[in-house]
Amino acid sequence: MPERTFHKDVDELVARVARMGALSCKSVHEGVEAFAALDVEAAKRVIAMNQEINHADVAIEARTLDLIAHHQPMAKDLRTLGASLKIITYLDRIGRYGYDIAKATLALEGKEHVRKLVGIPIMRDKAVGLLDRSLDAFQSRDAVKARTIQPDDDEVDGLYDQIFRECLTYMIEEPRNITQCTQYILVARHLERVGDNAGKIAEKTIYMATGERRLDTQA
Amino acid sequence: MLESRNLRVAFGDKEVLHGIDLAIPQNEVTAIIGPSGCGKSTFLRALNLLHDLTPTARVTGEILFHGENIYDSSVDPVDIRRRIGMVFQKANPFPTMSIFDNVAFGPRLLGLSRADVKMRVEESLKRAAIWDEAKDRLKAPATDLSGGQQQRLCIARALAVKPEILLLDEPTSALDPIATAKIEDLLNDLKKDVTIVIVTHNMQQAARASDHSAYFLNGDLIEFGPTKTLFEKPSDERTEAYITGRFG
Repeated sequence: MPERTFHKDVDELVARVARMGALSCKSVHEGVEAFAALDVEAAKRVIAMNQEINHADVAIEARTLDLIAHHQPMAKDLRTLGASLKIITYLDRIGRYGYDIAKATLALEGKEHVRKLVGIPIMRDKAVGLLDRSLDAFQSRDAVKARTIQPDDDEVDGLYDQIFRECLTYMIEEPRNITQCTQYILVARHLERVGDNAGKIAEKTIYMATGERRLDTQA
Repeated sequence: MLESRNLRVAFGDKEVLHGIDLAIPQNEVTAIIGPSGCGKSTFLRALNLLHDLTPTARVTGEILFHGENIYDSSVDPVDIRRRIGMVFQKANPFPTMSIFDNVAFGPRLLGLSRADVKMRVEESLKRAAIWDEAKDRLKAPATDLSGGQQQRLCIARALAVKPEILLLDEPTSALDPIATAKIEDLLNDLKKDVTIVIVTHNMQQAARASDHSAYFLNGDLIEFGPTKTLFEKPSDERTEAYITGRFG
């Protein structure tokens, strides 16, 4: 039997979600680049990107609802559309974290870093790496890959705790560091959330591929 | 209450059901789905002894109704058909009879008094959700009703003899969406008192209106389980292929 138009439409939808994901990744990646360099112009470019992500969210949601209304999908198709609807919400949030990180750059305009940023770019690489992997698992509908994401998120959480403690020390040492350190904590917090959302994407991917629902085990 | 064991049905040399084991859950709606020619209607008709009327048909295995094989020669088919009612794809009211007489037919055969018959007719029309539309024209010919109303009249007629089980063979395939929705709502109300088995081509209908679903393919029962599981996460890839439209 030749592939039905509907199944091509579902594949195209999955590809659109993955493209939106690439955009969200870019937003976080470049947001941190701008923040590390305190490059206001680069930060503004990231801020502008948020609108594109937002449009993708709205357009993909509309398309998914159309497909549901027109085809009343079942089983794997239904799970794919359900997972897509959830995942674009996570991606929209991730895009928003990129935006917030870029905003932190503007908040430090005219200031210098307390010292060269080390922990935050490492944390960014880990969190964006998780996001990349979760999107790859989603696009290839691979539950095995998806299952490896959440355990690795612990590392991102650990880095957040580390940066938080480090910043506290700087602030106690020298109150003039408080403005920068507050932003570092916020940025690290955003990155920690990026990691969490990558885990959520992996969860929905597992559901899509296997029908298995996982409860959030984090308290 | 109703269960088939190794049920085989053949027409001449051609076996169309290859040993079906299926226990129908009581006071639930069970949907039977599958592509054309998969044997779902044959299965339903076997539950009502309808193959007795086809000379070439041969039924082996058992259909246990309260533990008794309905194909045993000691069992009275008329009694079975009273207790296991059937509604067909095309509404088939008795064309020469009034609305009232269609429903009264069974109760009269059972020997109910005139007053009881009248009560039974009203009760059945109410249960089939057609009373409000029919009460002012009970003497009118049944064929004056619309297709959807005629189908509900046939359900009322089946209910009038107080069956324990109601079998429906694609009861809404000729009806518009509003009439279909009325019948689906009706099934949900009726299952408190009657166990329902419905054959349907419409997957969304099975998903909406049934509690358990059975997927038939080429004369075999492929998968049986809670409807929610079957449509969200089927365990057999043949079921998956059928309900997602990748096959059939």
